[in-house]
Amino acid sequence: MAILDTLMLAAFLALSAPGGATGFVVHEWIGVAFIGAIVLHLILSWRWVPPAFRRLRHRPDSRTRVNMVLNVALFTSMTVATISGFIISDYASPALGLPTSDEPRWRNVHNMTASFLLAVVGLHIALNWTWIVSATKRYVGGRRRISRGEVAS
Amino acid sequence: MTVSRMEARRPRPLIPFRVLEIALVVLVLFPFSIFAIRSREQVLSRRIGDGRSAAIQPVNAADARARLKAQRAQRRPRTAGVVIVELIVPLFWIGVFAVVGRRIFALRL
Repeated sequence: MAILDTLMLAAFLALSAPGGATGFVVHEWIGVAFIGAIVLHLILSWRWVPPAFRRLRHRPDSRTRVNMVLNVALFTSMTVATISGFIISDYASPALGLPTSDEPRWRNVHNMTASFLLAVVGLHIALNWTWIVSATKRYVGGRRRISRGEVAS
Repeated sequence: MTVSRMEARRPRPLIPFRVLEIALVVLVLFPFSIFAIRSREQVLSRRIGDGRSAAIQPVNAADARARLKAQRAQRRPRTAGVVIVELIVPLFWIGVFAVVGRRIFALRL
């Protein structure tokens, strides 16, 4: 999960700098691959979702509410960015046989959603910071234990 | 005199430091972030020629796409420096929102 999230952050950074960092062909294919990463991220995080909804229904605290609003905003923005990305695509959509549009408004939608996503992803990281730190420590700690074991054997 | 007595003698501030700190973050960083994101969006729009800038006002949608392709073809080559700078910009803004968000969430949630 931690590795997937790190890869997703790296991919999101690359997606946020389409011209200079990746070029548009790579940008579009990373975007396509990112859909799979989102689905996998949701599947791996799914055990948090039903309890969060239950908490929201029965005894909602402010943290649960903020987390839910952020996650819904993140999911909606990602969906809008992905769909508008497919619509304005120059390389991936034609290769996949999907229709595209020259309408400039779709580019505006894509760019605005991408900018909004920077803020929402930042806040998503902020709210899950404790988990990120503990997962990093667990991962780094786990590697240390393995290397000690190797020395002992 | 013990430390607690000294603290008791010190007049309580009218506005707690924490509130000032959050107000500072919200008043200075947040609008700045919005402004920067807006400018970034405009830069991106200008790059792809979506008609926001008068200088690159497209005649129609197909023309805009042709213009976009021409602009992309003329783009500067991707050196390591360009790649790093382009990656630092979104990382910086994610970091700003993460830090501001953590500060606010730590105090409010």
